[in-house]
This record gives sequence, C-alpha cells and structure tokens, in this order.
Amino acid sequence: MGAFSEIDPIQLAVTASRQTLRAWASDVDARNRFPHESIEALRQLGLLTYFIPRASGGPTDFVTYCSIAAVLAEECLSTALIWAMHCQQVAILVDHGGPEHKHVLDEVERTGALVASVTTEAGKGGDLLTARAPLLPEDDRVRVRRVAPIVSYAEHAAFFLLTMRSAEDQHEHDVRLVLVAREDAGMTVTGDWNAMGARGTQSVPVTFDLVVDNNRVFKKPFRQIAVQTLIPAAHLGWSAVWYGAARGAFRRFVRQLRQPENKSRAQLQSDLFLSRLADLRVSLDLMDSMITQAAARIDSLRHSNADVASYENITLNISLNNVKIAVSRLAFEVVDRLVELCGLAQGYMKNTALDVERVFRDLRSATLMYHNDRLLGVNGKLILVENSGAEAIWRRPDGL
Amino acid sequence: MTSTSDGIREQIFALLRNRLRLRQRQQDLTINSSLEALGLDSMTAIELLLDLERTFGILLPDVLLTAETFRTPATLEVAVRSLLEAKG
Ligand SMILES: Cc1cc2nc3c(=O)[nH]c(=O)nc-3n(C[C@H](O)[C@H](O)[C@H](O)COP(=O)(O)OP(=O)(O)OC[C@H]3O[C@@H](n4cnc5c(N)ncnc54)[C@H](O)[C@@H]3O)c2cc1C
Repeated sequence: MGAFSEIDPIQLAVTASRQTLRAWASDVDARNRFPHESIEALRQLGLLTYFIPRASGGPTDFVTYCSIAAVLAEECLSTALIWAMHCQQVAILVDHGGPEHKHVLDEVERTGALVASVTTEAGKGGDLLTARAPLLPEDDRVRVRRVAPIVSYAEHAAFFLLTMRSAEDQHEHDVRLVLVAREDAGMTVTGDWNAMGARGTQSVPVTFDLVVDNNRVFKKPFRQIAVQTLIPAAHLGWSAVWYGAARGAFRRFVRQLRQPENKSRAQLQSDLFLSRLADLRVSLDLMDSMITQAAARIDSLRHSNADVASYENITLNISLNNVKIAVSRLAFEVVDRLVELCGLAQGYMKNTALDVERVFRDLRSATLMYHNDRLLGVNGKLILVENSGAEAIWRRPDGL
Repeated sequence: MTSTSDGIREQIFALLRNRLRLRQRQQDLTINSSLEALGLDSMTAIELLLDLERTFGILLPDVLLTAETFRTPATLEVAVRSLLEAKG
C-alpha cells in the first residue's frame, strides 16, 4: 500500500474522488449499498492509514484530515463519512490504545481493515458521554452485551470500538471503551438501513454479545478519550464532509454555467441570480473558515502535547460544537437553495450531472447526526459558566 | 441524615436527589457521599450550580467553582452557608 511520504495526501484524495468516487456515487445510492469500489480506491492509495504516524510517513494533522474529508465528500458523501469515521477510530487507537490495541493499527496498514464506532445506544440516544449496558466480568474475562441501534459500515468493518458502562454497579457516566473484533463472533446485524440519504454508510442496527480479554478495555476513562480525540475528530471530520458535499454540488453547478450548451445561460445577465449565487459562496466560505480555524486550534494543542485540561476548556468546546451545529445547517441550506437556482430539471430530478438531488437527501442527516438540539442544550449551559474557571469542577486530580 | 434547623442541608439534599436522579436509581446519599461517584458530570454540575443559585438567591463566585466545592454535600453546604452569611 502506498505511503504518503512524498505524495500530498490531499492530492491523492482528489485523484480518488474524481476517478472513483464520482463514478460510483449514484449507483451506491440507487442500490442502497456499501461503496466497495470507492473504499478500495482509498485503501490502495494508503488513505485508510491517515493518523497512523509510521504509515503516513510524516506528521498528520487535523487541517489536512478535514481537507481530505471535504475533497472526498465533493463526489460521494457516504464514502467520505465512512473514511472520516474510520479515521476517528484510528486516531483513538493511536492516541490512547495500549499495546494490546496496536495490532489493529497493523491490520489497518496491512489489509486496510475498517474500524467502526458504537456509541449510540437504545434508550439514551446520542448522549456520547454516558453508556447503559455494563461490562460484565466473566471468569478472567469480560462480557460485552449491548444493543447498537445504528453502526455505520458494520457489515464491512473488522473492528469496533464500543462505549460501555464500566461495571454493573457503576454510574452511567463511568464509561469505558472496548475493542471488539469481527473475529470474536457474537455480533448480529438485526436490520437494514433504508434511509433518505447517506445510504452508502449502511448504518445498520447490531447487537453484540461476546466475551473478550480484559485488556481489550481501554485503561483511560472514555471521557478523556472523547474530549481529547473523538469529539474534535468527529465534529470536525463530519463538518468537513458536509461542507465538502455542498461545495461539490456548488462547483458542479458553477462549472456548467458558462457552457454554451447551458440552456439557462440568460440567468447570468440577472443581478438577482448573480447575487443569489454569491450568497451561496458566502455560506461556503463561512463553513470553510470555521472548520479550518477550529482544526488549526486542535493541531496546535496536539503538536504541543497539551494536557487533557487544555481540551476541557469551555470556550474550545463551545466553538467545536458550534462548528458542527453551524455547518450541519449551512451545508443543507446551501444545497436547498441550490435546488432553487438549478430549477426542476437540474435540481429536483434524480441522476443529473449535478447530483444536487442526492446531495440534498444526503445532507438532511447532518443536523440529526449527533442531534443539534443536544449540542445546543450543552452549549446553552456552557455559555453561562464560560470564563469562570468552572472547568475546575469536573477536572479530576488524575489529569482529567 | 442529621437535620439542621434552618433546612439548608435538606434543600441541598433535595436538589442533589433530583439532579442525580437518585430516586430513579434507588440510591441515596449521605453528607459525605462522593458526588462524582454518584454521577456528577460536567453538565449536571452546571445544572446543580444554577439550582443552588436560584434556591438560595446567591451567586457562586469563580473562586468557589472548584472540584473541592462540588466534592460532597458537606462541601457544598459550607459554600452555601458562607455565601448566605456574607449576604447577611
Ligand atoms: C448517517 C448516520 C450515521 C451514524 N453512524 C453511527 C455510528 O456509526 N455509530 C453510532 O454509534 N451512531 C451513529 N449514528 C447515530 C448518531 O451519532 C446519533 O447518535 C443519532 O443520530 C442520534 O439519534 P436520535 O435522534 O435517536 O437521538 P438523540 O440525539 O437522543 O435525539 C432524540 C431527540 O431528542 C431531542 N434531544 C436530544 N437531546 C436533547 C437536548 N439536550 N435538548 C433538547 N432536545 C434534545 C432531539 O431533538 C431529538 O429529537 C449515525 C447517525 C447517522 C445519521
């Protein structure tokens, strides 16, 4: 598999996006299936190992991660989401995994194995920092029994990172992350994914019931892993995907405006049309700068090996949540307004060269994917104690 | 639980029981229970802070927003009492 010591990973993503993702995106959506060809292309280009320092042949960073996600999403939102979610899990393994977790990284490098995420749970919904199902000691090992209502690419992943309550007598805020391999068996897909959009993610319901060695459980509390790695990687990765999908649709639209065969060329004489077009670009640039600024901030923390307390900063968390909230709204809004500009034939019909209709359906999931209402509720509280040093209340002596 | 004549402790206990959903969990607390062990996370801490301020008509100053203040019902009670006394 390729390493990117000499090659710009963003350039690799551009190649994959234009050559492969573009070719298969409609078929993936229409046949409601996993994007095998596109993920295979990312695998061959070595992009599935992003965040593994050795494999990447150099330092990795969040700004580049977001650029790659956006480039991929220009042509296929589902593939880009899968890539971003897999990278989030890889980043967790790199940042927080013990020796017994590192072999997963070897597998990712050697075979391009995918790692999936299991945080949502029946009853508690998307509340990331709590878990209901407890880890159950069984002889020297531990039983993982859990319902997972929605697990993206579950049928195509070799590994899963699950959030579990640390023990039956522990509180649901006492969450641990545990590594499960498909090879462990005991994983059952209990339904299908027949969704409005993001169909290629094949986010199916799964139940897990299996016993693993104790060392599969991460030593650090999940909260620390989430604050330091998962929340930044998830909010920024997803946002970059949504932004990229909207940018892709916008660029396809713009590209054909001056073509001689464009039947609506007369629009270009309309001040109203031009100002509406320009307005969309304002939203795109807003998203871009929000994402890039937040990613650069996380990069500076990562490069200076900042402690967990720095990631607990209330202002930082408000702004990370805001990137997710704003981009999930704006990206959909841009494509909604693009439907208006494109009109019936190019905007509302399926399988046009612009693919606006598919991107519109795909992006409708953005506000729901880690529900904005939940994040707004959190931010409302954080704002009340911002700059008061209230982080000290929940900072633990052990560094959390 | 020992009761206090002014009911401050009881009010703090009631707020905690509510926020930590202790009844639903069939758990209860004592004056020295660890709030962290009972599930006081960042969001619940902020909610509790707002509860205390509203109930007692006080403002918890930044210097009291520490892990120590929010360690047990007893440490919360000390903080509330000191603020009520300062208020006069
Ligand atoms: C395409 C896609 C892929 C996904 N992939 C995965 C995956 O791989 N793994 C995984 O674990 N999960 C995955 N998810 C699930 C996702 O992360 C969220 O957990 C999920 O979308 C939340 O679902 P929910 O609406 O049922 O729950 P909730 O977030 O609990 O929301 C339920 C309702 O409660 C309301 N609500 C919630 N909190 C508040 C609040 N604080 N204040 C006010 N109202 C509130 C909301 O308005 C909402 O209507 C995926 C979701 C999507 C759309």
